[in-house]
Parts: sequence; structure tokens; C-alpha cells
Amino acid sequence: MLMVSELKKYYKIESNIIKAVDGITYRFENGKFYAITGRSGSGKSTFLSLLGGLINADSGKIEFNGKEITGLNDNKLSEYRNKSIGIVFQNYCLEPTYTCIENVLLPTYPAGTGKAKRNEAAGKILEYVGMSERNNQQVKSLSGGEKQRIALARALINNPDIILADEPTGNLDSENGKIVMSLLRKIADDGKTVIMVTHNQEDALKADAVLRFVDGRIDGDYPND
Amino acid sequence: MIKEVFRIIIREITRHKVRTILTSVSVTVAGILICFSVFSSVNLPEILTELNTNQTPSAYQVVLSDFENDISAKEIEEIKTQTCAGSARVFLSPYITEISIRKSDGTTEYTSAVFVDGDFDIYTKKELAAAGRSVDDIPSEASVIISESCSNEENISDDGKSSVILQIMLEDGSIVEKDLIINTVLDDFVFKSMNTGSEYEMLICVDSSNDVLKNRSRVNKVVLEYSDFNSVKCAVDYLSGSEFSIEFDDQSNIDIEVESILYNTILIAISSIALVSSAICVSLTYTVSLRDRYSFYGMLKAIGYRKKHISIIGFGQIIIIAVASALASVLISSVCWYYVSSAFMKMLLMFYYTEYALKPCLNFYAVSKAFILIFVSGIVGGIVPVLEICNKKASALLVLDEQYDK
Ligand SMILES: Nc1ncnc2c1ncn2[C@@H]1O[C@H](COP(=O)(O)OP(=O)(O)OP(=O)(O)O)[C@@H](O)[C@H]1O
Ligand SMILES: [Mg+2]
Repeated sequence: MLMVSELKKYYKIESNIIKAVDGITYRFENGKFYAITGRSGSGKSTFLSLLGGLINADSGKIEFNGKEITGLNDNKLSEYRNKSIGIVFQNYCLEPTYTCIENVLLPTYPAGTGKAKRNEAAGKILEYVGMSERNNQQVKSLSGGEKQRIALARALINNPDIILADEPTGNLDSENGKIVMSLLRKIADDGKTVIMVTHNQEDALKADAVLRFVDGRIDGDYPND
Repeated sequence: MIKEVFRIIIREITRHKVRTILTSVSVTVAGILICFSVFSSVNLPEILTELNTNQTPSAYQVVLSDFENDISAKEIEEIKTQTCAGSARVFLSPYITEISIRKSDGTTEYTSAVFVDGDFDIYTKKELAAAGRSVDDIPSEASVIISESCSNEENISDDGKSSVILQIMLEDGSIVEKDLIINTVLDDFVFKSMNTGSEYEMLICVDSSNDVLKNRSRVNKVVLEYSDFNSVKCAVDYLSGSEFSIEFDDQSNIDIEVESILYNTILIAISSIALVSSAICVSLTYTVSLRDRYSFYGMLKAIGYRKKHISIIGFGQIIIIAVASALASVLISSVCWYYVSSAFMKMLLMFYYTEYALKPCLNFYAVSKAFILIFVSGIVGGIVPVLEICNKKASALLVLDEQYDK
């Protein structure tokens, strides 16, 4: 369970203060699929970065399974990113010159997973995302949809509880977008919390609940039927 | 983990080919300069000795350090300790001779390295006078006193003379004798007399009337020309390989110290410039190449790599490149040093007449000192860019934030 309370992140540009995230309080239930929508600049990515421990909040609290994330030291935060969450970016953030399996294995090294175990896990996860035939293909030769599936596999390899995805279908055509969406759905159905930022209404409807962001606040959450 | 991280490091090194080559080449070039500076600073005292010896030989006392087996070290010690007031002190070995003249008050009037091959005697005017003889008594090319006795089978000539007795005449007219066994004899040997400006006049002669000595021809020409007392040039056509060390009197010690400091400063300056420029080059190439990889390191951070891991990956690359470049520089320089320094030696020999000091001097200490200096210069340049990626937040490294970079 992920608890966010009174979370704030302001940016100061010259003399303007941009309230990117302006006092968000929310409770993400385990195993549910959340979609975050909202206009550009409404603070969605900032919020996701806060959840992922990529940036520090100005104030407020994030609690993960009863443990406070805000205020963790650097190493603990790295461990949290490594083991408890998986992050998926719009632009994949894969290492193009590495093969699929090498990319997927990257998070297992700091986790200290043994060789046999991590190779087995990588094999399974690549099968899970439907990329098992591409194990040894360099990522740069993949299509966007395939890249995003590899990115999902990498996010999943250490078996985290939460998947954070910032516009994972933003760079994809509708065909590939659908594949990725159904994967995210499957991940949520398999018991992980998925929090996804999207501009796509159709995609948002696949989630269990939709949070609408306006000016760094949650304007409302609408459970999908 | 170690193996995997090492693989990442190697991949980063090989992926940035231009950077790797640029960095290695710049460190290696600077490294060669550093090596030459370090190597020549090891050789420096010898070089200075060499130069100073040839310029002002009157200032030095030559001490034999390598004796041929004809005269035992013990015998040499005995000879050395035979310091007679107001007399000449002569140390002889088959190849190298040291001559120092001491005044009665104990001060050294004149010392010089003379490369002769054995047999001569030295008298001061006073000594001759004391002995009831004068310089005029001595025929210009005759020996003062050369006594020969038979002690070396090999060199026994028709008249059975083969070894020489060195005689040192004391002021009271008594004579100290030393047996000198010679196995080589002078072919053509001329010492001109030299006026020291004091009551001491030295005359060194070889018994050229002695056919036995004259006709043995193993040693080539030795000529000392004394134009004036302060500048002595010595042309040596042939010298044996025997080594000796040179001790300096106080004044020349100071001179050499000053020169040492000067040359060392120059060498240190060259090294520092090389060090700094290679560090800057490394720093630039690293900054550029790592900046190119911000998103990679940002990604690693985002998926849970710690500062520690990132710094291992970052510094690992620098360390490998620095070690490789340092090794390359040391190897190249060591090989080149032999040629460079012997070319240098040849050049110097055009101006100076001896060749004993300027040997290619390479030792473990010099090589490791150079290695460490080069290694450090390779590392220093990389510290800032690597620390930069270590300390930047994942979000700042990732392209994510680039849209906000203003
Ligand atoms: N590092 C930063 N420095 C300064 N301002 C920032 C920074 N990150 C975000 N902002 C500002 O915070 C606000 C929210 O940005 P954010 O990226 O979270 O929006 P978003 O909802 O993800 O928009 P989009 O849909 O376009 O991705 C924006 O006004 C943005 O300019
Ligand atoms: Mg965004």
C-alpha cells in the first residue's frame, strides 16, 4: 500500500514559483491499476517522480507498506527504487547497445541476485512480456512497442510491488499501445499496483481508477467500471 | 556483481572509442615527457659531475672505486693512507690513477684525474731539491725514478724488467716505495710540466729511454695539456672501462647543488606542465563523453544503482585507461630512453672528452615514480566529471528533465 499525504513540490524559476505538486493526499491500494490524467504541466510526471524517489518532496509524506520513503537516505532510496518499484518511461530509457536480456538483467546486479536465479527470472519475465525470442537482440533494433515491453520486463525483474509508468504508450502507435496496455493490465491483475500517467482516454479507461490532475492537485478520482 | 560491473566498465571504455583513444594518447604523450624528466633527474648528478669534471678538473678529487685485480683493494688502501707531508700522493691502478698533491700544511694544492697506465713518479721541486737533485738534472724525457723489478712472469722482457716501483720521496729525502705490477704499458706518453704558481712544481715523466716500457703498446695515447692552471683539457683516445667516483671539494659541491636545483626545477616544471595538460585533456574528454552518457547513468540510478556503483563504473574506466596509458608511456620511454640518452651522450662527447657518466640510467625507483605520476595525472582529470555524475540526481541525469534545463 502506498500512502501519500500533503505532498508538495514547488519549483522556483526566476521569481515565479511553480506549484508542480501542491498538497496531494491519496491512498493507492495494492494490486490496483491507477491512471493519472490531466493537462500538460499539471504535475503528473513530477508526482510520479516523487513516488519513485527520483526527486525529493518539499513537504508531505510518502509511505510504502508503512515505511516512510520521504527522508530516506541515498542508499535506502536506491534500494527502494531497485526492489520495491519498477519505473517505465515514455522514452523507454533502455541502453540501445545492450541486448534485451542484458537490459532486463541490469537491475539484478545491485539487488545481488545470484546468477542462476536472475537468468531464470529474466527468461520468465521476457516470456511474460512476449519477448522471449528476442533475448539476444540489441535493443536499438527493436520497434517502439517492443522496446517498451523490454522496459516493462526490466521494471518487473526484481519483482517489485509497484509499477510506475509515465506515458508508456505516448510514443507508440495504437496497435503497440494496446499490447503495452494489456500487459499493464495483466501486471495489475497479477497483484501489482500500477500507477500510469497517460493522455490517452482510452488507455485511462483500462485502469481501475482515474485520477485527474489540475494544477498539481487531484481534482477527482473516478473509479472505472 | 563484480564481474558484471567490470563488463559494464569495459563496454563503456570500448563504446567511447574516440574518448578512449584521445585520453590514452594524451596521457601517454604527457607520460613520455614525465618519464624522460624523471629518468634524467635520476641521471642528473652524474651528468653534472661529468660536465663539471671536464670544465674545472682542478676542483675535484678522483677516488678510485674499481680496481683491477693487479692491485688488491687492501694495497690501494695502504697506498691511500700514505699521506706524506709536502709530498705527492699517488694512487695507481693499471688503468686509473689519482694524483693529489698536498702541501705540508695539509691542504690540497692540486688534484686531478689522470688516465695513465701505471708507471711514473712524481716529485715536487722541493722534494727533488731535498733529494739533492734539481729538475734540470732530469733529462727532459727521462724518468725521474723508475725502478723496475721482476715480478710479473707474463711481462718479463729481455732485460727481465716488468714491474715498476713507485717511489715517493719525502721532504727529508727518505723514499717510500710501493711495488706496482704493470700488465700494460704506455705506448706514447707525454706529460708536460705544470707550474702551479707555488713552490711546487710537478714533473711527470715516463722513462722513454727505457725501450722496454716504450715499446709495449697496449695502451694508447694519453695527453694532458695544461694551458693554464684553471683550464685543463684532457684528450683520451683510449680509456679502459674501469669506473671511479668523483668527490667534490666544497666549492664545487655548492656549484653542483645550485645546478642540481636549477635543472631539477626545469625538469619538475616540464613534468608539471605535462601532468596538468594531460589532466586537463582527460578532464575535457571525460566531461564530454560522460555528458553524452547522462541518460545511461540516470537510468542506472533510476533502477536502483547507488552512488557507489556509479562511481565504480565511472572511476573504473579512468583507472583502466590511466593504468594502460601509464604502462604504455613507461614502456615506450624505457625503450626510447636508451637511444635518447646515448644520443645525448654522443652529443656531449663532442664537447667533452670522457664518457663515463652518461649511461642510460633506468632503475625501478625511476620507473615506478614515473608510473605513479602518470597514473595520477590520468586519474585527476577524471575525478570531477565522475563525481558530477555520481552526485547528480537520477532525474537530473535523465532526459526527462532536459525540457526544464534553461
Ligand atoms: N525540474 C524542474 N524545474 C523547474 N520546473 C519544473 C521541473 N519539473 C517540472 N517543472 C514544472 O512543474 C510543472 C509540472 O510539470 P510536470 O512535468 O509534472 O507536468 P506533466 O503533468 O507531467 O506534463 P506533461 O503532460 O506535459 O508531461 C510544470 O509547470 C513544469 O514546468
Ligand atoms: Mg509528464
